[in-house]
Amino acid sequence: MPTTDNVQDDLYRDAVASYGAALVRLARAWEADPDARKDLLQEMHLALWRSFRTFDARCSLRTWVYRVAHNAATSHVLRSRRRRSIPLVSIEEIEQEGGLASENPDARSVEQAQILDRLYALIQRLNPLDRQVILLYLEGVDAAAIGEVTGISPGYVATKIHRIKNILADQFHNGGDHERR
Amino acid sequence: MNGDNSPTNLQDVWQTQPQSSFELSPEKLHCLRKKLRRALLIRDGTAWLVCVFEIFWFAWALVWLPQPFIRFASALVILGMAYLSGQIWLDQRSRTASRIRAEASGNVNSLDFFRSELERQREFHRGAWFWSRLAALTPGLLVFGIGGIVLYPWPDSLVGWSITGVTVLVVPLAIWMNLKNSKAYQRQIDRLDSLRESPPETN
Repeated sequence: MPTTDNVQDDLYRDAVASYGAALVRLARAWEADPDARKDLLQEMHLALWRSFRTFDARCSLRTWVYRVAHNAATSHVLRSRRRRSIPLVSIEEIEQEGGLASENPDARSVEQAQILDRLYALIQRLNPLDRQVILLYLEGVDAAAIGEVTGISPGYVATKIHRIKNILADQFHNGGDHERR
Repeated sequence: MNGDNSPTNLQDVWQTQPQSSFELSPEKLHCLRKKLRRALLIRDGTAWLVCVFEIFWFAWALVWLPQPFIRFASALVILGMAYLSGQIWLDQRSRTASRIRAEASGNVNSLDFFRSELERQREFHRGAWFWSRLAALTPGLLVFGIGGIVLYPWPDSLVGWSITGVTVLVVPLAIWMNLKNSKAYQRQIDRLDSLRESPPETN
């Protein structure tokens, strides 16, 4: 059912209040370049605002927000990949090659910043769907909801989360002392 | 570094990372929507302008060059370019509409959205779109080039040789590259379909 402009604006404000921080994290995970990231964040917000014209509450607000944001980001990545020829891989390929070595050996001394840098570097190598699964997992979304957002069967979501946990444990356990190149 | 970098703790680190907030006012959103529409119009207009320029160039040849062979070829190229312009317009219109619909819709899950994007790109490389572009442009260029070779002695026939040579080399290469790309897209689509239905393998 179409909504009025005011309802559309209110829904947008509610969504930003609840998921604005997650959108900023998603944008950073989808786009490494700071300028392009600002564009992506704007695209996500614009898509979200437009989407609320047709929001019918058949799914939860969270599912709706993540779907719109991820679809906008997928479009962005496919466009920028054509421009930059970035090869994207799957979770399974990263698991096989033994994870990801830090791309920045002079990383900031703050422990959390180091961990986040490596997490972002890992995520930015993944193909769009696997990127969505790992991001939703990190956001604390449960497997059933990840399946609802992505459309991936629950069995595959469970397998991918299992692999993500393996990769994360392998990469970050004991401070990542066993980085491999 | 401390020892607790378990996946669960990584979720905490992820969710509590310092960051600046971001929100757009309704006025800014309206402004962005207009800007996006304008950018799409400019992009579509640019593709059209290239086609129109080509049409005018060959129209000049059609009117001013005396040889019927060349004029026939020019007419073929003009028809091909006109067809191509129409195809570009139709393709960009549907692409823009589907992109705006899909991006702004929370009813489309990520897998369906990603698949439709890949399908669209696959069709660009192997579908009726691709073959009709080849069929529309190749005959005119070949007749134009061969006409130039037959009608003019060397070195005046250089243009004809160049057009023929480039067409003969580029067409098979374009077919090969486009089919290769379409197969790569199809492989990705097949992988996505398996995620939707098949049970996962456990290691």
